[in-house]
Amino acid sequence: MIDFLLPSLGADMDRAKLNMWLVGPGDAVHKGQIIAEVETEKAVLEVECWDEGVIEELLVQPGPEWLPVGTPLAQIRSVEPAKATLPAETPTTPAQKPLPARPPARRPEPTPPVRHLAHELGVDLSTLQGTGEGGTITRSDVRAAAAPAKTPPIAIPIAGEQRVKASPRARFLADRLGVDLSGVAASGPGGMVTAADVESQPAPAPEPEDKLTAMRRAIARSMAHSKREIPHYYLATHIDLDEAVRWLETQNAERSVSKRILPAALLLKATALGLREIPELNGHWIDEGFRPSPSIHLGVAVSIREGGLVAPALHDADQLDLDEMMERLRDLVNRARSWKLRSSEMSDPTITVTNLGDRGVETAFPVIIPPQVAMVGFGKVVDTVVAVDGKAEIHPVIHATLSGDHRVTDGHRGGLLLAAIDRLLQEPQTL
Amino acid sequence: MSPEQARKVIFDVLGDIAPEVDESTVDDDHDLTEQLDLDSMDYLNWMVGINEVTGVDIPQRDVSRFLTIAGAVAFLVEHSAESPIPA
Repeated sequence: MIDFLLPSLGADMDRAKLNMWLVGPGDAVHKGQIIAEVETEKAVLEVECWDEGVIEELLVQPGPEWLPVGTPLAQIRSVEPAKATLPAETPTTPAQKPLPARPPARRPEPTPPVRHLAHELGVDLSTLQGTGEGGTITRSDVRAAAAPAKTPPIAIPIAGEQRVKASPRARFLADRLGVDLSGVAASGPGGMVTAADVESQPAPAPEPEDKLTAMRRAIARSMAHSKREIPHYYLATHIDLDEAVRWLETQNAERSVSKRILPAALLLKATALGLREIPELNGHWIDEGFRPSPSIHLGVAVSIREGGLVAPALHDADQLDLDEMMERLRDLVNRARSWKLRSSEMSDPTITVTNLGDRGVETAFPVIIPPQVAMVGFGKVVDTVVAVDGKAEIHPVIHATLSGDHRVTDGHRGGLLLAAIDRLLQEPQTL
Repeated sequence: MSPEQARKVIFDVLGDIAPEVDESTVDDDHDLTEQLDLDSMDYLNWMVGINEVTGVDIPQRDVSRFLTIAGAVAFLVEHSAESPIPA
């Protein structure tokens, strides 16, 4: 029997409330499946399961209590994949419930991007036949299975909770004013609650602490920790984006608006590939030592419109092509802004990138998010006079910065990452 | 599509991206990204949303027309005849 524990939810996030279970006793669960929704001070998160088996018992019910990280939430009866190939030697105990049919074990494990894609599309990898080498499941296999196989998780709603029809502005106002939408008389088409309906409600007593205040407190804790513990060094360089911008314009000219690629996707991909060359900047400082990460999970700083910031991870960013990078980035930003992130996205970025150029800032000096050991910043793209073969030309130029943890690296290694990003952006077609 | 219909689509989609925006306070001729603090992802999502609702594609060369409400309304009125709204 495995205890399913409340997982780590990111730096300095040591507690959460259980909002909802998405599985119940007797349900089969698999690695990467989202099985619960929890709420921390920074976000509502979907919690993934990292074991295979069947839910034996839910130990905690949804409620407003804060639960420390590590609290047992459920018990999972594990399924040993190896035993599936040896049925004769596996005694059947009367207590065991029947399990869904599983394919024979011993085929190559799908790669992390394939597992992630399956997770994104709601595809159960255990049901797929791989067409890759040695029966490996490929992205194409997952995509082919996605359309028919995708089923929404079975939600176990909290008693009394019903989705009320309301316009986005009505929801925003209700959230801000603390109005319960289910108690508002709707005057909009099809029984929809409108902004005016919400505004006509008497304001309830203010809550002691709203989501944004809680997020600000969490950021304060994390950043104070960073500035107290991490001896930062800071580097900056200008990167000529003439090639990259021109290449992107050519690409985008042929694409419909929904397939367009933003410069941010290029910057993220170049950073991820650069990190392969300088692995000392990709990982975590834990127990007075550096632990490099074998995977490159880029944290992306996303500002929340009402204020605040989250930096969830784009998993295996170095292995994504630009279309995938753009698709995943859009999805991540949209979910971050609607407070719908997953636990792994909050807990495992291996380095973070901030792109403040959108807000008109030319240079960012990032503060490292512990336990990470570096952070990359990009400013605004500015038309600048540059010397080309002895002549002055005007090129789009971006200011790239790196904050590094001096306990792990020195400026020389940090400089090599910025140089690698520069070199990669000069050949955008290879990204 | 009439200018009124175009305007309604534009603000309906904007409401999903920036729900706090009050239509009555938006200046039709002023840069939207500055007025409403939209970043490049918001701006792209807004154009994608308009494209999904109206069926009108927005070529890269015309993106700058969407920097203002007035420009976006004019673009949709001009181009909606080519791509009628799907039923």
